[in-house]
Amino acid sequence: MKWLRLRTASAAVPSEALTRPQLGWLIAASAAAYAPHIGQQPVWLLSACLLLLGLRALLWQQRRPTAPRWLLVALSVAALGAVLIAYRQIFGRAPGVALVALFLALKLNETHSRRDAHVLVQGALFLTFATFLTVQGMATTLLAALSAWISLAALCAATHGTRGVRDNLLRSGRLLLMAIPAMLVLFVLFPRISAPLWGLPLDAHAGRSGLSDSMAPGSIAQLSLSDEIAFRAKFDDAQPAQQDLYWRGPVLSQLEGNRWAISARTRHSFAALPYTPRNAQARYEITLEPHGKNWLFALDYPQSLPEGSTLSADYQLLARKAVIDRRRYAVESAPVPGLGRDEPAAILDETRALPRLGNPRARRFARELAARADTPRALVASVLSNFREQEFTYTLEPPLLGDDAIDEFLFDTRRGFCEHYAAAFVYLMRAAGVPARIVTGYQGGERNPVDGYIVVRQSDAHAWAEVWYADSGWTRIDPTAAIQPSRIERGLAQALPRGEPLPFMLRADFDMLRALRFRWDALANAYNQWVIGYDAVRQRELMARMGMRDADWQKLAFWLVGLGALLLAVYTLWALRQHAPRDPWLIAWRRVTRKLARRGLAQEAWEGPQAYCERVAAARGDLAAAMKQIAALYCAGRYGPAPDNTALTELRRLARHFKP
Amino acid sequence: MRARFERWLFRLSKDEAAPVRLNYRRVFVLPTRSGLFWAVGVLVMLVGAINYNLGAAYIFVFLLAGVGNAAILHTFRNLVDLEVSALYNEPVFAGQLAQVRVSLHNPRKDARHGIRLSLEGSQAVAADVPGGESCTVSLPVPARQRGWLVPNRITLETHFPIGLIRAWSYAHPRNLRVLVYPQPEQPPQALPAEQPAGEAGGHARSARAGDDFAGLRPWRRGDTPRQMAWKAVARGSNPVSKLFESSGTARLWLSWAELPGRLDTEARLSRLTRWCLDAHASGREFGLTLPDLEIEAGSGAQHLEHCLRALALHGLEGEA
Repeated sequence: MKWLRLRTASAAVPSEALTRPQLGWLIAASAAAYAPHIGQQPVWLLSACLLLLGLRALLWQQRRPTAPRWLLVALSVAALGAVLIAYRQIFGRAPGVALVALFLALKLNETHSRRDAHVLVQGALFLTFATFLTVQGMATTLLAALSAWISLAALCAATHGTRGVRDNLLRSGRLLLMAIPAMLVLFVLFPRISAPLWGLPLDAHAGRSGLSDSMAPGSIAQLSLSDEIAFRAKFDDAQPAQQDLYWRGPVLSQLEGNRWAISARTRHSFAALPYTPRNAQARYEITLEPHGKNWLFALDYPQSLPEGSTLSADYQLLARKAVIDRRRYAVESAPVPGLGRDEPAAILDETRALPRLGNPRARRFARELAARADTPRALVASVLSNFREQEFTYTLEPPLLGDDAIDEFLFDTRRGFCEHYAAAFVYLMRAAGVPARIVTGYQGGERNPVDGYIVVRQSDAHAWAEVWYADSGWTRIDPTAAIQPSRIERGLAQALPRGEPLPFMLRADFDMLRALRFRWDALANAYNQWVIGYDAVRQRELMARMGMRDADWQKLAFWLVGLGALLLAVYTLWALRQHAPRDPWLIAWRRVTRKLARRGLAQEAWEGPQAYCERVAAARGDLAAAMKQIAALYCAGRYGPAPDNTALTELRRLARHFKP
Repeated sequence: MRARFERWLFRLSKDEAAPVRLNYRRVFVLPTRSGLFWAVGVLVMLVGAINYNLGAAYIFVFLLAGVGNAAILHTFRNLVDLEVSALYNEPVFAGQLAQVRVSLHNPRKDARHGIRLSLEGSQAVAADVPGGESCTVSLPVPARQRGWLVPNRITLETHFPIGLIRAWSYAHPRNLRVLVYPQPEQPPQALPAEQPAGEAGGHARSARAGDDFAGLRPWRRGDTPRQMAWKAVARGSNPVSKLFESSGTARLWLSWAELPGRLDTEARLSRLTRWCLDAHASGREFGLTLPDLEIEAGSGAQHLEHCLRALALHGLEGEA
């Protein structure tokens, strides 16, 4: 349809071809859609898109026509080829996103009409959405919302071309604000399905840092340099003391050379608890960051198994499937006295075994200590007091160790991190014939005063030991606590000597920064818990808390429709809201014209008050006098200089008593 | 059947009391093609969010759904409670483009944007109406036939603010019409010969103006500049016109009956229209006789208008 330009002052003249400012908006919307992908997509892809975007922006800036069609066709073929080469396919998530990104940039180079603008904005929104396939953090969500805002402003500009930048931003911002209540209702009540519809693609989650299934000297120290969050814990009631927070992870029983590893023997797992459950002493919920392994962390010892988990023979909580999504589970824990008293001989043999050769000094030392001690308990006490009495240093930067690492550490360097102490301790125990093994996991954690969550970071990674006593079974011994009690009581930052390289998040120098970090972290956690982690279970919990029992999809749909209708009604009232004319003169005059209209003497649109008055007077002689008076008062009040109040009162009185 | 359904659904009626307020019952809302495209896009993204169980993606998808919902209300609000009335329109000759003028009044405080108006068979015109104000829109309509041109109805439509939704309404306010004069004959025929006074019976009493000066009277609308007493005006008095007395000189009678018999009604009207215009242009007095109407000789714009109106409405019953 073609539009005509007319002399009416206010006539806008929309046309199908986009104007230069409208194109500028579209370029901005495309650029905003790429922003959240920076750092997520391969560099070649982003550079190709930015080049195409830059080309269009340059041509736009110089007021030149778009690139020729043959060039765009050639570039499209090239884009398809590049995706095929890079991903070996064009279907699937990653190549799909790459194609959307490339074709958005190409489409921008041939956008001319209003219809193109709509296609382009849809593409930009789709590309923005695609960000969430790789990252879902709060910052990403904010960037995506910003991109949606600019896209909507571009649509505003394309629909109504004559408005300024500020106007378009305000209007689209208002649309977004009005969308938020509907979004919240939908988000909370839209029924969630617990399992994916057709499974995650294999590339959904790449490897991440965390504990591994084996430990060599230095590996935990390495991990301690990272302030990435491993998991968060929230206790239902009282939180246990800091020094009791031993989050059990992989248990290492096998020693090969200097490397401790998980034993295949203890990997068989129980689907039900291998001991009688006791009253829980700690109830808590853990939100585990994905780490790609099937380990779950819990305090000793779990009294119930969370859904989809088992317990290994060395009492580690295991997920049936690798944790590739952020996962939330509730656990109850309590000590189990005498656990492992009836351990099978095979496990005891394995936890006493040492390689045939190596570390001769340590072996001799262990035999000497064993000869002096009557019981395994006495032996443990003498080893720990040895650690305490000798000049051992707790450090993140121990010297490198050779083949007989235990010997060198115990008798030469005497500088080490928790894994050194745990390894040396277990070695000495085994050399003396006492079953012992290394337990890795996390110790402690930092309580966020803002939301009460305990945040456990990779820097809280720890290694300790377990010793088997014939009368009481497996008992936890933490040699690090003997050397550096503050590590266990107050955390890593307090235990290390000054000047050691600490992860940024652990530095205590800036109190204000710390307070800020607590707040940010609480916010990010709330976002993780309630936005990213809002799943079928959470939804049921929330509904139960709001008084809806057994929320199934029918109940949810009922409430969804009900609240949606309520929202719509409120909005419709807003849409119909009127502002009555404020001018009191006009209100009084309208009162008169309404009465006359009922008698078939409505004021015509082109009729001024005087002409109208004359017409009324001619048609109804009986009203002539009153009408003339009213019209004179009205004209003087509304159009004359400085109207006064007595005249207005008089006009109102006349209007009230006017009876045609 | 369909027409009746439409009349019921869209509450169509002719000559509604002006101003016609587009209340909520007569404003209709449906998505445009882009709006449907948007809805499909949101659904596809929703499936993605469900499949990958992405909380943040749910937020994004529901935000876009909410925007679509808000757009419905914004577009609806942009049109609802607008007041439409028809303005007086200048008559045109058949074959010309008539301008149907419509006044839009916005009783609300905030402005309305991008209201498109169109008449059946005409091009659309867009207008913005500032808050609490009125604006005038001229809709071009080809005038094909003499008589009253009454457009079927005005379609008022808006896609504002983001083009996903179309809100529209129909209105036919009172006096939505244009007078169309007959098309002047082409090529023009020479005017008929003037008749001396006293001839043709009753025509003589129409003598009101002539060549002999008979005095002055206050100027009236329709008096030609030639009649103005410029000397008197120059002296500073109110505008006055010279009054002439006819002294039996010739005058022009444009008569239906004297036209050649082979001409049909429209051709006759067409020729008479041409003659009226020519006679007026040459500043002469002329009278007009039609089968059922006789207009006394006269001159001036008002006289011409009177004659043309009679020609336009000749034979059309019930119209004045």
